[in-house]
This record gives sequence, structure tokens and C-alpha cells, in this order.
Amino acid sequence: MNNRENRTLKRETRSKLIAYAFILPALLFFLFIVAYPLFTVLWDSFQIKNLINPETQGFAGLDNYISVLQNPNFIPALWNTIGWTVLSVTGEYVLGITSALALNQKIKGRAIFRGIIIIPWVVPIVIAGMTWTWMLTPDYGVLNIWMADLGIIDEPYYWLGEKDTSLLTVVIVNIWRSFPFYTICFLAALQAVNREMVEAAAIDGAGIITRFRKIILPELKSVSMVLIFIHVIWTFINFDFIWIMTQGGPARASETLPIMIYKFAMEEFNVGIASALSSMMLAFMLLVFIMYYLYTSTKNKG
Amino acid sequence: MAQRLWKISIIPSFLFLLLLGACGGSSEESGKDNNQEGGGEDIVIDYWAAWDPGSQKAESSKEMINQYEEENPDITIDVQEINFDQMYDNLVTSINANDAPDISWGLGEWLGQFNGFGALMDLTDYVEDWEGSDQIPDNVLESLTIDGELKAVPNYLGNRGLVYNEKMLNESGIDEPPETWDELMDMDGQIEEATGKKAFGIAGAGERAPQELIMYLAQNDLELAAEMEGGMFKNTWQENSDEMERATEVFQFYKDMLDNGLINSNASAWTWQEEDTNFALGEYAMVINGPWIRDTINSEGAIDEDNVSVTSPPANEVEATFLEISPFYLYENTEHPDEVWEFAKFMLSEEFQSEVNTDDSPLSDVQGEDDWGQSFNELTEIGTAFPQVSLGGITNAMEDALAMVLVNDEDPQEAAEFLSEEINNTLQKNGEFSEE
Repeated sequence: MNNRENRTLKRETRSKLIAYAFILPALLFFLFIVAYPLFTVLWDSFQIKNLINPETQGFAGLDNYISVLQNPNFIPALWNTIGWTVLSVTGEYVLGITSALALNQKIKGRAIFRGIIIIPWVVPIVIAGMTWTWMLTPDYGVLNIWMADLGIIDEPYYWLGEKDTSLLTVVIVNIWRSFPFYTICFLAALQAVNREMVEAAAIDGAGIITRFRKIILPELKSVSMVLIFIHVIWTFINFDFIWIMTQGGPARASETLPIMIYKFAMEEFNVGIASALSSMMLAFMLLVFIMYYLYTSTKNKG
Repeated sequence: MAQRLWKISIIPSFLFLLLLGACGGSSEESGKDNNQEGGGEDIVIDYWAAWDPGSQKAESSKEMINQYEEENPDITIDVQEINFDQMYDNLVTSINANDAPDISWGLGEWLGQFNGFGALMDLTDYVEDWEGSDQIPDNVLESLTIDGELKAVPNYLGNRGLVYNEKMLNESGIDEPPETWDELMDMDGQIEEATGKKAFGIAGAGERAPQELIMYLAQNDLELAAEMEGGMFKNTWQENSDEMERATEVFQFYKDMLDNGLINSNASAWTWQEEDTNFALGEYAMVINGPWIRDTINSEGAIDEDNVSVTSPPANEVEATFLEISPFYLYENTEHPDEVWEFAKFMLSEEFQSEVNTDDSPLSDVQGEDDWGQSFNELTEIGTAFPQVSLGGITNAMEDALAMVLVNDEDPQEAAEFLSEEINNTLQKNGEFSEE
């Protein structure tokens, strides 16, 4: 090996070391903040672990998973979680894109509206949840009073206290809070749409719906996919809104899987079962991620 | 260049590790000794309180704590204000991270859990040596005792009484509040016809719902979980048809209240907030409630406090009420158990209690000047508390059983059987079940 080759090797080694040094902080973050808790949850899901009964410990095999699947509240909670996620993300998407298109028009006071629309998204969830709960109360809530005065309902209705409407009501509140995020993202994406092309299509006789479907919507496809993907995850694992507004009630009618996990872990202290359900949710989310990855990579190849 | 890059990456890594170290190391530092500049030792006591910020209780407590610090210059009380909704989660997390405070507020329902964690100090010897202990009713101390060891001391009592709007009752031609379930049930039409308002209120959900249910069960001479030999527990309704019949009667009572219009149809999902606020707004005439309802009545301003009175809850088989004991929990991990006990003793002194807990003191010598406090205090002797077991799964099952009859319109007997089975299942999971 001559000197030149030697120098090249040293340079390569040094470059690699520098690369590792750059990765080190992120790796430490990943190991301590993500990997360790994740591994602990997976490990605990196969253990008998009850904080109240520490004497009974040991390997549980698949017992915790079987307990979760046999729990009579699991299937209703799974359907509630799916319904909660699908309805929330759909509502947010529709409202987000509609408001973005409206705010993209040259209207008077557009800057003010663009500023105002972000407000629901910056209100802390606890404050938003408690305020909506108060507004929806049948006996002294302003929304019920207004709706009754306007003749929309005959008498005040307990939106959060009835089995048929409790989850749907929280979905609406969740849509109200989350759609501004979509609006801002879509507004940014709309700035990239070629105005000349839209105007040319209009001159050629393309109607407003055709222009939206054929020119604008394809331009928003990428941002839509990212928004839907991250919101499916965020909504699926969301705990706080439902807990603050209904605690999963009445009669577990709005109980989702994260609420079940909380009850297993923090009320019954059965960490094994809580971890098993968490691992199942993790596996489901992983599946969604893999599907998304396969979809985008196939599309990119195409 | 390479050296600079190394430094750039090493510094954040080091800071990150430092952060982790700081998070994990707090248990060794909190609570605990700090060297003063003068070289003396300053003991810091971590105290988590759940008073309402700005309330009379909060302000007078702070004044008394300042006074205590002045009298004990080597002791600093580090007060953290945490509301009850967050207190439970914070305590559970800190206990399991071995980083509990030295002393905290809490609910009586948490006693079994915290004892199961092995988190609580044994206060038996301290209380035996304390002269003031004879001022605390025996049943209060018994409720805080597990396996012969006293595991907490009472902070204040939330005895439940029948709080009734005398004006509404009088307008309906009713002179006296109901003394029995039957009398209560007969009042529905009378009050609604005269005032247009409902007669009674309940909480069908949230923390308050199990507290009310245990009271009605006690009024029918039933225990949620009976203590058997060996300190283990069991629900015995399924083994005793008479008990099951009485448990069914309790759920039937709930169902009748709803079906007969005695209560608001929304009450099946009311939590304590709706129950208290609606009573304070004059939306119904009677409620089982605690001394704090006076503050809600005054803050809402819809009804006059002078029109509201307190008496024993309506009885069935026996007279009983829910004895809510809000305890001070003293934690095992403290480095200064004697000093923490001295601080707890100070908060249980007549001087402190007279300033802070005028209407709800656990001391028999400290009673409010007016009828209000006295009426509630007199109910202590008929008070029933939760059994000293881990209650998380049990209170969830109690809420579910109530929802079965109030929301799902299911058979009261099925609700009673479900509850009995779930209580024993939970006891079994927690290693507290008696096989007898």
C-alpha cells in the first residue's frame, strides 16, 4: 500500500468518524427517548405486571394479549377508535381544503381571516375541551340555548351525555380544533399552483369544478397524503380530547383504545395488559406506515 | 476542522446525558437537606396540596404554613398546588418513580392503591403518642387503618348529607325533608307540579357516582367488599340471596328515580360538576352533597344560602351516609419522617383546623359556628367509607353497573350480579381476594 492509498484510507476513516459523531446525539435521543420506552412496553406486554400485586410476577406469554382480546369492551372500543379516526380526519380534510380555497381568493380582509383561522389550533386542548363541554351542557350551555332559540332543537339536548351523540360530538370538536392545520398547509401548497394554467383553463371553458379536479387537486395530492397520514396517527392515538370531554362515557359509548390503555394502566395498574394493548396499537400503526411507504415507493418508481 | 465537528456533536450529547441524569436524580435531592449559607441544615418538606387557589382554605393554609416556617426556621415547606384531577396521576407516577413528595393531599379512595405500592408511612406509633388523636372519631381512624397499621391521617371530612332547598319544598307544600327512600320517591310529582323543577339530583358518572352508590348500598345494609379472616376481602352478594336481593333493590331504586321523573333524565351522565352546579342554580330541590356546596351556591348566586338546609340522607334498611375522608398521605420515601409527622400534626392542630377547616374538620372540637358545619359533622357517626382495597377496577365497575340501569336500561339484578362479579375479579387480580 503506497502513501497515497494510505492517505485516502485515513481520509475515509475520518469522514466516517465525523459522520458517526454527527449521528451520536440523535442516536442517544433515539435510544433513551424512543427505543428504551418502546422496548419496555413490548417486554412488559409479555409479563405479569400488576403494580398493586407485585408478588405475582413472571412471564405471561400471550396471556395479556388474550385478556385484551377477550375483554368485552375491546371490540366496541376498536370500532369507536376507527370511527373517531375516520370521521375526524375526513371532516378535517374537507373543512381544511374548503377554507384554504376560500382564503386563497382575493377577498377583502383576507389577511385577517388567515390570522383568525389558526386560533382553534393554538388553544390548548384542555381549555378547548372544557370550554366546549360547558357550552354543550344542556341546562346552562350557550349552544343548547342558541339552538333552542333558533328552533334547531325543541329542547336542550345532552350531546355529551347520550350514547348516540357523545363520540360524534367530540369528533366535531376535534375537527374544529384540527382543521386550521390543514388550512395553513393547503394554503401554502395552493401558492404553488400555476395561476396562468387555471386562468387558461377558465378561458377554454373549464368550469370551477373541472378546474379544481383537473388542475388544483393534483397539485395538492402530495401535501394531502402527508396530512392524512400524520393525522391518522395523531387521531388514532389521541387521548386528551375524549378524556377531558367524556372520559369514555356514557356507558363506555365514547371509549377508544387509548382510553382503555389509560384505565388499565392508571386505574387498574395492570401494566402488563396496558402494554399488550399499546403494543397492538403500535403494530397497527406500523402496518399503516408500511402500507403508506409501499404506496409512495411504488408511485415514485412508476 | 475534525476537532471542531467532534466538539459540535459531543456538546449536545453531553447536555442530553446531563438532562437525563437530572431527571433521574431528583429523588435523591427532593425533600430534603440543603445546606444553608450559615452551615446549618435546612430541611425542605415537599407538600402537594389540592386546595382551590384563591379560596379561603388556600389563603388561610398559606398563612398558617408561613407561621410554621417562622416557628421552625430550619424547616422550609415547599408547597406545590395541584388540582385533584391531576393529583392522582402525578402521585401514581411519582410513587412509581420513587420520587413521591413527603406529604400530600389525596382522596380516601386512593388508600388501598398507595398502600399496595408500599408507598405510605406507618403512622400507628406517631398517633398513639399524640395527645390530640382522641379528637378524631374512631371510625375515621379505622377507615385509614390497614392490617392494624394507620396509613394516613384525616385532612378534612366531606360527610354527605341531604342538602335541600327549603323554599322549593315549602312551595310544594312539603314541611319536612324525606326520611326514607319511599318518602323521597313520593315527592316527585308534588315538587315538579308546584315549581316546574325536579325533586332530586344524582351523579351517574365520574368520581362522585361510586361515592353515592356505596352510600345507597350501605343504607341497604350492604358492603362492597367484606373483610374476611386473614385481611383479605370478598363481595358476598352472590353467595347470599338476601344480600343480592338488597343489592338489586338499590339498582331498582336508581332506575325508579329515573323512570318516575324524580331526577333529571340527563343525571345518568352527570358528574359532580353538573350535580353541584344545577343544584346551586335551583334546577332541582334536593341532593346528597358535602359542605363545599355552600361555596358553589354562593358563587352561582341563583338561590339564597339561607333557604338551604342539611339533614341525614333518606334511609332504607339502616341510616348511613358516605364518609369522605380526605387524608394527608405521608410517604415512606421521606428522609425526615419525624419532621414530616410534626408538620402533619401541626396541620391537625386545633389552631390550624379552626382557621382552615371550619366546616369540615376531622376534629370533634372544631365545628363551624353555624348550623351548616355542625349538621355535616353530626353525620360522621353514620358514615361509611370505601373498603381498604385497591379501588381502581372496582369504582370503574360501579360506574359501569350504574350505566347498565341508567343508560342501557338493563335489568337491575343483572347490574347487581355484574358488580358483584367484577368486584371479586378485581380483588383476585390484585391479590386481595379471600378464598373463604
